[in-house]
Amino acid sequence: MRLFKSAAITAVMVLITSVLMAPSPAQAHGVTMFPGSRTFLCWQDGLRDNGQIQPYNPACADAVAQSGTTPLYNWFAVLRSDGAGRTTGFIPDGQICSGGTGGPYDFSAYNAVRSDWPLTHLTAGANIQMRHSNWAEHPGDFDYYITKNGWNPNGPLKWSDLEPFGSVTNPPKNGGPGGLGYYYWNAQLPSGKSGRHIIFTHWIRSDSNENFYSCSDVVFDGGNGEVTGVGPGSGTPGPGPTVTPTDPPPGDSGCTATWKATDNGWAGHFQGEVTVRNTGDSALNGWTVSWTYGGGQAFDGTPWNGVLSGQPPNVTVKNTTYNGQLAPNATTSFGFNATGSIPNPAPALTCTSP
Amino acid sequence: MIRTRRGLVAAIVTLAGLTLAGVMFFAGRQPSAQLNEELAAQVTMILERASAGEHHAHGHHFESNVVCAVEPFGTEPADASSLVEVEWVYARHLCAITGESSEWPVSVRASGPIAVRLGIPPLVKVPEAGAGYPERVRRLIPPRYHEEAFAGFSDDAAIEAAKQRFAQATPAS
Repeated sequence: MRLFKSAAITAVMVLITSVLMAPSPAQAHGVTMFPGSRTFLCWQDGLRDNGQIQPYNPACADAVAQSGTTPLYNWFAVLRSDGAGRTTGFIPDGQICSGGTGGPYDFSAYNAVRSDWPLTHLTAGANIQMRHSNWAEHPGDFDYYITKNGWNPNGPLKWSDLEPFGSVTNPPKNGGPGGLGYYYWNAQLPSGKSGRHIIFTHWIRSDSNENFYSCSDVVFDGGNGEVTGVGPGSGTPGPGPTVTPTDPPPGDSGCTATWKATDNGWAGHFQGEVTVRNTGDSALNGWTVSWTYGGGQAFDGTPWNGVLSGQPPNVTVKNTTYNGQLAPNATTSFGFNATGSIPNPAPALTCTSP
Repeated sequence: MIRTRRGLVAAIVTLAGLTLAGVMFFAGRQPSAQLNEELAAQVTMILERASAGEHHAHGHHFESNVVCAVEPFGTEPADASSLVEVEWVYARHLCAITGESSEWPVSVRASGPIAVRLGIPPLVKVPEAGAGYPERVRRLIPPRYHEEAFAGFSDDAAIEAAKQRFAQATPAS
């Protein structure tokens, strides 16, 4: 009887495993988190607290309707195990954002030509910190491209539309695999860009032929990394935001930090912005802002223009390499998407330097 | 209107019969609450046992298990009233992997309608994700359940239960 039971269980395992969840979830590795790739921002847009994906953004909703939710749960898995650094001639034009159709998940719905994908607002010529998910860690190169001036955003993305603007090898990382950790590096955005563009990142592993493909929809409009097109009312201007500013506490630390939270009408989410001011008489060389959440708030993704070094509830955010130098009375700011309710009263921020 | 006692009895019997038929008809469309619970438990066990094995077989070594929420929405035959009568269960599922992140929502890796044949061995059929997905769902799930197949979970009970088991299986970080 015991033998029969054991054999039956083995048979069950073999039969089910042959048809269930064809790609292993653990095969998957990473896409660009800032500027956010289509799959990453669509995942953020649709993911609810109970774990279901129910998109708000119409482009994300159509992609989910066409291909199911399972690819989007594996947003970090836009990959080809046989990529080997190849670009044109390997991934067809019009399928660049999905890495073709030969990966473990079919992301071809995310190639759709439309203007309502989630969007990151940037400034031409600015320095940004690019971040790429390290859901699994591998050595390799990140080649990043941007669409040329005059490209047609109303047609399929072609390799000939893209021009490289940098590459980095084995960049440092923040956070470990299996979650929302990332590799990061600084990049200067090309000057002379305006309007809609796509930033394409090609991660080429040096220890295997596996490659990853990320399309990030951006607009050059003087933005500072803000993300629109996620959450309720995405794509259309919503009701006026609720802003809860706080007065910076007095101190002699050389800097102050001011809190601003915006309620975009998406229950359980808000966007935060913290402005750091040099209140001293001499230049500031680095800053650290800390606060404590009391209501279970957490980050939805990672902050932009700031580096998270302390996790909620005891949050610590430090300057990036490009915004730590502040002349007397100069300001800089960092932003973030958060889950939970807007803290009321606003948290007391502590700013120290460095 | 009804002139004889016999006529009255006949009318009452007819009415009762119609009522019973109606109840049976609607009961046949949806599994009973108790049967639903039994089917959910059965499918959850099948998915969790199978997925963990499949996951480990791929050579990755997360200390992980798969935790699933399952909500049945139909059976074959449609009027099955007890577990032993059920050949196929149609259900929506949501499966998360423990050991990678301590947060339930970011750990979900698969979701959607599935068909499960209860037997030895059981058979799980998952419509392949990607282009053409809605058509594959419609081919797998009988037309009478198509609307249910594309709907989300009707309430949070199954998901809440899975979240609790996920928390128990995940060391606090």
